[in-house]
Amino acid sequence: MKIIKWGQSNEELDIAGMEMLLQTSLQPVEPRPEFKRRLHTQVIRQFQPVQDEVKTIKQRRVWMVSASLVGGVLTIFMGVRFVMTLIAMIGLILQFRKENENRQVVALRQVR
Amino acid sequence: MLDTSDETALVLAAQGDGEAFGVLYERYLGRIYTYIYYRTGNSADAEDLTARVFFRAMRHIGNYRHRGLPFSAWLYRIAHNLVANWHRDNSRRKEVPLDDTLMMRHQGDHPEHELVINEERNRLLQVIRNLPADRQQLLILKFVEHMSNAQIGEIMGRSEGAVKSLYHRTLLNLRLKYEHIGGDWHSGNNGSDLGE
Repeated sequence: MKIIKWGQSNEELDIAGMEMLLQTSLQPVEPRPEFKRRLHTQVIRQFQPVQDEVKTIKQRRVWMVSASLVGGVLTIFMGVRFVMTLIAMIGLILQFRKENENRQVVALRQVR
Repeated sequence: MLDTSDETALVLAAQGDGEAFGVLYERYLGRIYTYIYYRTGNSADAEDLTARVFFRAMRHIGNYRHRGLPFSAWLYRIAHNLVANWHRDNSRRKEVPLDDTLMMRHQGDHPEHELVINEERNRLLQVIRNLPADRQQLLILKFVEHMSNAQIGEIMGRSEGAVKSLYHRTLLNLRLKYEHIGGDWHSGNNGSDLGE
């Protein structure tokens, strides 16, 4: 039933009229029971992969953390080895220089 | 299990509980179907897209993060995106008439009276389906789901004021278009006033 108030503008009446029309025209629609049942079965049956997917994500995270740890340890190990090699090389160079100096001193003494 | 809240069912479903997802399915199937049905205009596509909405929700429920929005907002967004894709893919296809299932039965009415009512209703629905997507969504959520402007705003990602303004403009625009194709909006409640 339409109630028209005194003093209502045309626009308000237009909107009220359209609202009433829409209220009666737009009604919920029920899906077919067969479709509802079939989709329910499919959804429930195929729900398992979601769990697998979640597990896969967790597993992937564990793998990534492990790989990062191994990578980190390897990087540190390589760094330590590099420093050790550098020190060894410096030691060798110094030793080589010292031996040269000693040889020169011996040679000079022999000349004298 | 059936009286479980959406939040609880969501948490359980995200942990892999199929029964919990079944509860959400039962709760929202009709609403999502109705929404898609009015957006597409035929039950075959509505069934196909509804199934896709629930399969997509099922696949991504593990990644669902509760950000204060209701679960229905998430489902409606999935549905909205799928319908938008469907319209894009079928843009060249001829308009599909609304199914007979939409013809509402009025017990005690004369057949001619029913025919007139259904004609008017289909005409209006045709006009609605030619509105922009956001306006269609707004009308469906407002009149089928009976949602408030605030709830619609949550789903559409707009403020309550913006929804109110859009609603007002939509109704005026709808009236103009409906009149243009010869619709009689003055009849108001066309389910009972027509033919009287």
